Amino acid sequence: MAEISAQDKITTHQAVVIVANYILGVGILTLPRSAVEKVKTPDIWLSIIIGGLIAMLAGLIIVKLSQKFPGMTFYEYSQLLVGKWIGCFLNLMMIVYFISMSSVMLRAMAEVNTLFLLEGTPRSAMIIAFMWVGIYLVVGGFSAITRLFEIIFPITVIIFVIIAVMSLKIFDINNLRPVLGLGITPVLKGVKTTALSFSGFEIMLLLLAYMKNPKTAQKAVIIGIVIPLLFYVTTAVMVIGALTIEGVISLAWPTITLIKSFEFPGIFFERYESLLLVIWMMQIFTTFVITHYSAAMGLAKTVKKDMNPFLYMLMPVIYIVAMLPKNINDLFQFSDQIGNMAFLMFVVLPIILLGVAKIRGVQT
Amino acid sequence: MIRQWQSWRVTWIGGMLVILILLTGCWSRKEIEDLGITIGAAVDLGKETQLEQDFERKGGGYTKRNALTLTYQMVQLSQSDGGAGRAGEKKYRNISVTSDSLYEATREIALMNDRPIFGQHYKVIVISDEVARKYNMQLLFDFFIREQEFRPSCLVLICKGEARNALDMKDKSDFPSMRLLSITDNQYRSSRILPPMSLSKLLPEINSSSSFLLQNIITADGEVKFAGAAVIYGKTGKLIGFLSEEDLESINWMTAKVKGGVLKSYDSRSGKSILYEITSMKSRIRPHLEGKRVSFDIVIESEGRLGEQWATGDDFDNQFIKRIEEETIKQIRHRIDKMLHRVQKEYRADAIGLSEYVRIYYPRAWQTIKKDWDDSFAEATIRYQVKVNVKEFGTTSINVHE
Repeated sequence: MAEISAQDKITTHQAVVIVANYILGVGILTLPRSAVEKVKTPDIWLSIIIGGLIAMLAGLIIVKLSQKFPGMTFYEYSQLLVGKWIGCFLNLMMIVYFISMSSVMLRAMAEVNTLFLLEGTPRSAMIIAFMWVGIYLVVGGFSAITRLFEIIFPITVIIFVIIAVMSLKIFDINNLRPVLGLGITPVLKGVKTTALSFSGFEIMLLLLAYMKNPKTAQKAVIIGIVIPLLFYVTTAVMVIGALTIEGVISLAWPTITLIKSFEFPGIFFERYESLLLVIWMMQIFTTFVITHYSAAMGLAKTVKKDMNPFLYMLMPVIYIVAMLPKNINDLFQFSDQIGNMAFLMFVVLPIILLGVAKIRGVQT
Repeated sequence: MIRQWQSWRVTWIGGMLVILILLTGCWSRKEIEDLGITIGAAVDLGKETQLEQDFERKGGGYTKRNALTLTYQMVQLSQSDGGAGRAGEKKYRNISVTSDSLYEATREIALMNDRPIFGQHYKVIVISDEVARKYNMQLLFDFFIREQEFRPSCLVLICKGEARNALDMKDKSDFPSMRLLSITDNQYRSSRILPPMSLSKLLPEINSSSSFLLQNIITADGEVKFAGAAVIYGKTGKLIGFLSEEDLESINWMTAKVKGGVLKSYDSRSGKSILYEITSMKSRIRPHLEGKRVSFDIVIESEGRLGEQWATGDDFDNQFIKRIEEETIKQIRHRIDKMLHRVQKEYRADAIGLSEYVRIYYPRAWQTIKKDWDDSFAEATIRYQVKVNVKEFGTTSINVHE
């Protein structure tokens, strides 16, 4: 595989933006409910913090592992580390994971749009349009993706802060009390769900090879997780504070309901949920392109060929997988399963691989 | 060669133009003129309107039971000048349909009106008290909460008598739904208004089957008035009775959900009225749990000013101010006692929302007592203390020299 050209290299700051953008996705809209389902007390923000810490730990392990193979992505060093066949198999698993993740993003985007924005538009029309915009970006390579992410990120932050401040109108601190009323056990029950909502840090397996300064990768992954952590905690606090846990548990998209739950008479326009949907759609887009790109990269690096054909080849595959879930519950279930897969692959597996690397004494 | 290149370019640009025309625009576009922007809904017990009966006689019916009558208030767009419509022209139109499914009834409107219902700008839902007595809130609001088009910020009100009357008003140039919404903003002037209960606040109450209050309104001769509150009983989800304006006010005092308002008491020496204006109200609620018995200690603190007095005392005299404070406290206590008797003994339903405090202070015990909370509440001892502080008496103290 050719060396990565200097202009394709990314700075630490860019790595942070990529990790943060990748993590933020469907989670903002559904995390409050999926966490409340498990925790059943208003303490889900604690679960989210603990989940974030676990994600950071896993992220650090991944960084540690990748740092042992400077200039190489996971797809390349997996075979060095555990042999050709197992390496190939791991690559394949990764590719399957990225394809599924990509598909879930597309489908979730289509579902929310059908419900709240484009009632009559066929899902396929939305998905196909989305994919073509995506392919336009990814053929530009990593640097193009990175630059777009840098544009999207500040917009997301600004709009998110505006929305969070607006929802203070119906916020009631009593809904968040008592803290730890039923002890720490319920909080821990939710940790798995919340930790999985941080899946995305695994991009460090590939990203590290592109970094100008791979030594700062630890910093990048930590900050990259802290940003979504703040987003998630704010969302959870606002949603629970306004809608209470009893309310949240029966809402399919609690965050959108939150935004629809207040009005500011006098301000010319209503329906602020469109603001949220805008940034959310951008975040879905970032997650979608990065997973699409990573999957194609995996195929290309495994068979040691050029990447562009794979980008196009993956499009129909991703489309078909996106259309597989029969209904919304299927989709939620599908994404849960991907979550479980992520847990195995990016929390358990890196620890094992790091052990293997230690035993085999791979040089750093 | 050049010619060939040019012809290729023409095809290319032509193709681009075609694509541009075919691909732009929004698939789900709906022109704003074609939307029946709906700002209010009312639910009554099923009674077909004259119009519906006429339609049915001519063969326009479908399989249904006449369980509920749903009235939608649609904004009437003035076609002509866009600005002020002609005098006396109605700016809204109410359409009633009768069915046993609210959703089906909504869609039935598409058969009667060129502009089908568009619910993104809902402001109020008014439920008739008869409907609320008969149907569980969970079933009644299933459609309104589920449908993504409805705004969860929509206000929920109960109307004594025909709910659709509340969506009508004498002054045709304004929107009745907007009026209802605006009245709830007057909390800073009256403490007899319940804090707005929107669909999104209703959902947790229904989900946790707890008792709660809904603002009640009454109508007469095209006018409305906010009059007390309706008590919804948690276990059945049905309306069990009403609280008077004064009872509602007492509840607001107790929970300190007061932004302003006045309180009249009678001077015990002269029998004349004294008016205390509330500028702030705070309350501290502390529950206690001994075994299964619940008790509450509540401290209510208020600051305000003397707004009006007929007792002809000297405002500059602190003794007199003290007297006013005492009379006010006496009045508050009297009213709260009355209210407590009503909710604890008559309705046996926690309309005050004290369960919140038990949940916060005794989260573990709450898991077991929440099932029969309304009964525990009815037996609970509620001790309270009232502190009133008259800070000032306005600009002038009229002092007639005799």
